[in-house]
Amino acid sequence: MAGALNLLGLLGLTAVQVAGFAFQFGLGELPCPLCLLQRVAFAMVAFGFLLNVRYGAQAMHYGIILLGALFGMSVAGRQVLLHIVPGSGAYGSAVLGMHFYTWAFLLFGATILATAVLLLLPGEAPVRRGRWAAVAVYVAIAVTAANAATTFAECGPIECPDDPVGYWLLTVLRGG
Amino acid sequence: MVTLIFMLLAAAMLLAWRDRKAAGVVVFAVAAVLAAAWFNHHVTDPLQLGL
Repeated sequence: MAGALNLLGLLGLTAVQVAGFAFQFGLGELPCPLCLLQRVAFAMVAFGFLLNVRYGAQAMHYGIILLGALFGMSVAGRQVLLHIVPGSGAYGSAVLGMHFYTWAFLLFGATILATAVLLLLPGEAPVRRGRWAAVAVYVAIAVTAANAATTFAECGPIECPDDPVGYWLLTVLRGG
Repeated sequence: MVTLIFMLLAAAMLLAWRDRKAAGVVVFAVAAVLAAAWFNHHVTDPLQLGL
C-alpha cells in the first residue's frame, strides 16, 4: 500500500504544478518570485517520492520529502504573512476563497501529515519499475523541465521582478 | 537563478531514475542550497505585523 501511495504522491505533486501552468497560461497569472520558489519546493518533494518509487521507501527519501515540504511551508507562509493584514492586498486570484500561496501552505502541511502516515504504515514499499511508475516519473521530469523553460521565459537569466507583468523573453524578442 | 534550480532538480530526477541515485542526491542537495539562498535573497520586505 505504501508503494502505491508514494506513486500517488508523485502524481499529485505533478498535478499541482500542471494546475499552476493552467492558471499561468489559461488566465495569464504570472508567478511571482515567491510563487516560483513554491513550485521549486513542490519539485523537491516530488524528488523524494520519486526516490521512494524507484528504490523503495527509505528514511533518507522521507527526509528529502520533509525538507522540501518544510521549505515550501516557509516560502508560502512568508507570502501569507505578507498579505495577512486586511488592506495589504493579495497576489493572484483566489480559488475557493483562498489564494494560491495559502493553498500551497496547506498542501505542504498535508504532505508532512501524509509522510507521517506513510512512516506509520507497516510493511515495505516495493521498488516500482513498471510502466505506470515510468510514466509518472517522466511526466514529473517533463513538468520540472517545463518549469525551467517558462521561468527563463518569464524572468530571464537572473531575477524576476517582484510583481511581473510580462515575459522577459517576449520583450527581448520584440527588441524592447 | 530559479531556472537553474529547476534544471538541477530535473537533472536530479533523471539521474535517480536511471540508477545514478548518489549523483541525483548530490545534484538535489546543490539545488536545495541554492533554493534556500534565493529565498533568503527575496526575504526583504518587512512584514506589516504589529500588536
